[in-house]
Amino acid sequence: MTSTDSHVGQDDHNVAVARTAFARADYPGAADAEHQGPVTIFDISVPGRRAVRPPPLQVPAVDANSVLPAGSVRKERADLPEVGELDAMRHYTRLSTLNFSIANAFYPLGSCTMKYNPLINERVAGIEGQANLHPMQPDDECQGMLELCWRTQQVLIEISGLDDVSIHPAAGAHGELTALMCMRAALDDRGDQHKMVILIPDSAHGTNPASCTMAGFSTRELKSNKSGRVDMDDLATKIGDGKDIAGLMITNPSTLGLFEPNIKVICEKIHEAGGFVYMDGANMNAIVGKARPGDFGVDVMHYNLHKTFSQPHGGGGPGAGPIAVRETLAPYLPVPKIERRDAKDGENGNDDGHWFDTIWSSPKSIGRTRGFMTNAGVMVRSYTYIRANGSDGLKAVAENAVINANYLRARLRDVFRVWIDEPCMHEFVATAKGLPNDIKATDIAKRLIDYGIHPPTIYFPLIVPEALMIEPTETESKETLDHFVEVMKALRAEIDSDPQTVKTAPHTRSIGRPDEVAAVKNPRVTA
Amino acid sequence: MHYVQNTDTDRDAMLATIGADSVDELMAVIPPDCRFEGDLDIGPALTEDELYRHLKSLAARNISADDKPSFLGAGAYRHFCPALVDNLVSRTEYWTAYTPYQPEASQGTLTTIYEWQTMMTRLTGSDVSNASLYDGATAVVEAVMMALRTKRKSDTVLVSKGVHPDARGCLQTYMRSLGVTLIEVDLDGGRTDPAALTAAVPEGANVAAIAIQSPNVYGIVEDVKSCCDAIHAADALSVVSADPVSLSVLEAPGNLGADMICGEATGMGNGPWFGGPGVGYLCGRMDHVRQMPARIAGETVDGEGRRAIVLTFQTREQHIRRTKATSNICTSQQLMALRATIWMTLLGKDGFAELGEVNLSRAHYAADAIAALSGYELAFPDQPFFNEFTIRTPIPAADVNRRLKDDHGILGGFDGSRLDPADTHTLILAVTDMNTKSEIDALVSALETIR
Repeated sequence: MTSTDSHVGQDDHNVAVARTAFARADYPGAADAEHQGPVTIFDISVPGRRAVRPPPLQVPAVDANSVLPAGSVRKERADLPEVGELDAMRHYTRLSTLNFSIANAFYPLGSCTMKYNPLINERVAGIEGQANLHPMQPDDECQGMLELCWRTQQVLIEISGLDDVSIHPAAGAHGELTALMCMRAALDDRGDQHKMVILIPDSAHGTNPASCTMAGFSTRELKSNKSGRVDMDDLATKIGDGKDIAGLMITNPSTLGLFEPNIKVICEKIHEAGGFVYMDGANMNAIVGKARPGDFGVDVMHYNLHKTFSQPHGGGGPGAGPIAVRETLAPYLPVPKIERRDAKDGENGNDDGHWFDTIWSSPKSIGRTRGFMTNAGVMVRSYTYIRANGSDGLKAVAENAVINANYLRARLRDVFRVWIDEPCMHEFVATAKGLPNDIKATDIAKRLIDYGIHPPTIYFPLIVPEALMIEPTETESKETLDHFVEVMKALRAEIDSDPQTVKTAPHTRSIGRPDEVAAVKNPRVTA
Repeated sequence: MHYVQNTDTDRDAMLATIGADSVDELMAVIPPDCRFEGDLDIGPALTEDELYRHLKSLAARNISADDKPSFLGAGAYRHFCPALVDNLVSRTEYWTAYTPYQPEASQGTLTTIYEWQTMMTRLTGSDVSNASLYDGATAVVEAVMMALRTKRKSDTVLVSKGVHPDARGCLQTYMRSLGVTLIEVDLDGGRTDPAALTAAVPEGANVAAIAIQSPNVYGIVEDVKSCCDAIHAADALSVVSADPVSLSVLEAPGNLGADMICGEATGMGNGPWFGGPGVGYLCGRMDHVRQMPARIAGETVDGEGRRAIVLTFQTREQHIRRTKATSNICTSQQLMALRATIWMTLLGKDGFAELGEVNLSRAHYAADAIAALSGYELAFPDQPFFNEFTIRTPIPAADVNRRLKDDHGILGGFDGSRLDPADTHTLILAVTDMNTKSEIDALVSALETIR
């Protein structure tokens, strides 16, 4: 029985909506009663079968045992798969169909900014002279890449309203850690070794406190008030006399999708206490071109280029987490970094007569936090995206992200309770709390999968019970948003009429709800 | 140009539903004194055609292995990559999806993670692999931090100078931050002396881990077993960084006593890309799994007994444990790890071993020919190597590289003075399956004229 059959005779409108939605979910790899779960490449491996041949020897074969000590030579070939090329192609093609992606489903995953990933970014990343550029080549062989990275730095500085950028960090959490290390170095440098505490709102991403621990700080949690903002009284209490305050990590707009109206005052209070304000830039999509963190008092922030600037999420990476800093923190940024100067005689400068140097060391730098310099492949894509948009385009990104989110909020508020129902920015948080028949956020998420829609982020932020965090992004059309609303209405009706179907969803995928407890109790982490 | 689909009509209708008169009214949640009213100085918006030309003109100012033979390795190696890797990874279901938090909607990504883990444990001779880390340098740091958590009262970490300088640089930054003492152990004739590892442990120190790399930064295959024995004798955990491609020929470190095995896997199906994105890997023993950082996929069943792959041991991670998490990491390098997984599949059991033979044979062919040249010699003639080796040059290595490029159109090796400023006449050359015999012959002929 498919999920849609249970509606027949109950609500014609809902059935119609569900049927359309179901049709969207029904691409290859969806419902298959005979399916026994995913097949791994090892299941289809046949001894002696081959796919691609490596390049030929061309030179006399060297016997490993003749040039390497006996104990160093591998005794048995690593048991890698043995499959033909066609079967390998079918295997990985079929596996791909078991995924949801932006290309085949609405993906309103809150806090992740699942926007369209323009294909021009992929095309320019394929231009020769980039993928096979080696990070240890001398500067005169890398002028194009150094200029591209330098230009990326410059646009990120401009968008942040701050003074300098490091494109070193490989991900948002890596940016947090790198920035916290810079803060530590700056505090130590001015004799503030005793400043050990970072204030963090209770709505923060889990990476914030985890990064603090790794950077040697302790954390003190700030309460949110009833409207989801920093409780200013609690802030004053937690700052206390300010002696131990190293700084504040704040996500603005917050994980509730709300701009912090007191951000300027908050920054001033932290500065008065001698601390730095760190902004988690996960939600920059709401304010890009409309507000600059440097202008409202932030000292340091990270970008998630895979969120705001359309680097594809890749199933979970690669991303990049460049950090922008005020002048006061700039000397501590990691090395290597890039500087521009006028080309000297004999140097083949660019059209503007400029030359780009790699700076390998800097007296106050914290040093390195990664190998080589940057995720250059990510810089190429995000730089291209920023240049495609220009200033007006980026402002339109923010405005339409905000319109789309508010439109969904306005249309869904009668369907599911919106936790803080006031004008939001790029996302908002609804709740499954209090729904009849003991329906939880996870049930809604799983049932949405049957309707061909990727679930919102659930159970985050932690301060909202049964949270459903919905971020449509600016690239979705009104029709897609309307469809989502109709699906949510149908789902809400099902909660009353057929809760069992919701609680046991999904019904249309290759697997149903997995037993995650068993995965920990009887761990099986290899095939 | 931008990627918004809403028309003015759409926007008006949506604003009416919202109950706002204008976009500005919605944006007014940003207080006036926080707004940016000006234009961003980021250049004019460009069309696709303009973007392509712009990026192409930048790329044209690079000289890469696309244009010239290159013998540069130093932690980023080029290897043959089958065409099918590009084709499969370009499926949007892989590259536009995100973290597989909803297993029912992500069995594709989860299954490929599970396959990656399986392949990496088989290569390294270990029990468990995570889903990948930022790069090889941070993988060494994460392995060391895993050891620090496992040996809870430890305060000291040692690292051989045979470990890549970027990994050592990261270790310095992170260990300083954690208040852990880091001691670098000198090499002896280019290799790590197992006895020196134990001798370097300070009196009274509680050592969490000692890290080595094999093949090391000079290309030398270390005596991993003796090093691990010495490390265990010092009551520390052994961290072995290894180029996974070298494990086609070299014994799995897990079979030689390595507790944590880590490194950079970008050579498997990914280009050097100016150093990033890379893909770090980390493997270890099952009894340490709860101290392992980042994502791990595991097999279970659904309600009907069907196989299902999920993210497991999630209570280690930051989104649940916050300040007490094993790591702040919430990303893997999934797309690069997927490329590596498909790469390993396509080469397969025999092809991977054969690829290793090609590297070993071509590198030894090159080393023998260069060592026979007047004025050149192997820096460490008695030391075993896989696909990278170190030579002494008759003139400064920087000059050798310059003349190779200017006069012969060849990108040379890694200048040893970047490891040790006094080492001006040392050049580290990588010869992989991407360096044909004719490229090697051209290099040898060129060196013959450079002295």
